[in-house]
Amino acid sequence: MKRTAAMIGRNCREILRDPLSLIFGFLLPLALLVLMSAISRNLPEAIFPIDRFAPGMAVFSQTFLMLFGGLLLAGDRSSAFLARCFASPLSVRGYLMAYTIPLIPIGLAQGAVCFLAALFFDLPISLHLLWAELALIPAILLFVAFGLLFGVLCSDKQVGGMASIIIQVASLLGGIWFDLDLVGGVFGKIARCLPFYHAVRTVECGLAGDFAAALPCAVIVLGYAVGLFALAMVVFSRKRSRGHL
Amino acid sequence: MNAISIDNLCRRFGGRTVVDHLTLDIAQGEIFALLGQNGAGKTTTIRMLSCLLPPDDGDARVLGDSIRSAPDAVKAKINLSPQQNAVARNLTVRENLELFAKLWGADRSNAREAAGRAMADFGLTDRADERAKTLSGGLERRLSIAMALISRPQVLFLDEPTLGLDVRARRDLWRMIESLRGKMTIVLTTHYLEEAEYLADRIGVMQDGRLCALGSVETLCTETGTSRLEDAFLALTESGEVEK
Repeated sequence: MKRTAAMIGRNCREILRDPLSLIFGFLLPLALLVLMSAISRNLPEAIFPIDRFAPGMAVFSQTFLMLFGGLLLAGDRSSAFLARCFASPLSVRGYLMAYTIPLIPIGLAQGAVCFLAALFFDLPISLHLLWAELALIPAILLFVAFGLLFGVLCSDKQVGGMASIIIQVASLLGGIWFDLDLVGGVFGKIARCLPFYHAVRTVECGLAGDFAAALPCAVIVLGYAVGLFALAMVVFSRKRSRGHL
Repeated sequence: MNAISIDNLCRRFGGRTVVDHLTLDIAQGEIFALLGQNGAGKTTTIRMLSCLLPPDDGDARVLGDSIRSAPDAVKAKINLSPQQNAVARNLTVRENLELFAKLWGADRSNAREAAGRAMADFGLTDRADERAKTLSGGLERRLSIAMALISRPQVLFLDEPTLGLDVRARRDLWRMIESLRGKMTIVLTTHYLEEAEYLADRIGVMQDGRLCALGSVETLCTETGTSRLEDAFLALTESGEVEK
């Protein structure tokens, strides 16, 4: 466990010392939230009601965890840093934990920043904010799992492209920018088959204090996350045993 | 007991045999250089010996432990510095060293102490709090090797340790490696023949995955009827396997 803790500390520092993490993970979602909420406030009918837009932005900020984790892992592979770490007695499980655990508090902090900013746009202060924070955990795990998978499969140059695709898909099909119930049709059906819509719904329901509605959505997101983690672990183990990492 | 006993080690990638029935013993405390042209199998051999790549056939024992059946026991005794400067770029020099001490089991205070010692040995003390990405190529390579030494390995693998360094940085590093003679077993690969000549007690020349010559510089020169290692190397790698 000491070895894993050392690697967790290293990964945490690597991510937090990269200015891109601050810009993408914290500042971009914050800027979008402030901008859109300010525009919405000046319109006769709110197009971005804060109780729906804040959860959307909180989930959107988590998509960048995929980028941080994926880039770090892929970079460590390409620089042979990971290979030299493999010469140490740290286990495969230890490595995967080390690339996962640091991202969880970062994700929670990103969510907290979004909700704090939303308070300035009339989001009421209540205990539900804490539930909304906790309801982010499935989304955090989902995007961390995506990052792990991309980090194992792709080169450091490819990770950015892959993550961008998922960020776009999550934004559009997650119902962050518009209400998917208004769209319906095939688009709506596809969106409901993917985890992103459910990730946003989980947080929305958490914020509304509707736990009964949040739970099934959270289960779907966690199901995807577990599947992606399992896939990343299999690929990681296979590549490592074949000396391809 | 030998530090390393390699027995018919083989590794294939696709249909190509990269390491072909390699058999070799390396004594404890020896500095052993593996020479060979690009693609001769040097790095693959090092990767197998450091348990990064499983062999297809054969086995090797590192201080008595098999790389196939007891990789964790092997890993506890070894460390390596790869070809690239594989350092954590956003971590400081001190943090990099402490990380590697901890990965090999040191607690916080021991890691700090070991990092301080390593920085003093490698002339990195005044750069302790600078991030690795700000170091010059020579300093980064020094850090990379210090990271490999911080666990006080009994066997150290250095894969082209002076690749890309200028003459002065290379000489500095030679002196550091030289100072380790007798304290641990060192296996290094290199393309610089003068490096092997300066550092190695014995040299193994690989070609097409096979060991085609083994011995001291003098032995290799005598076997090939040459007076310089470079001529001996060219003769050996042109003619393929020679009788040992």
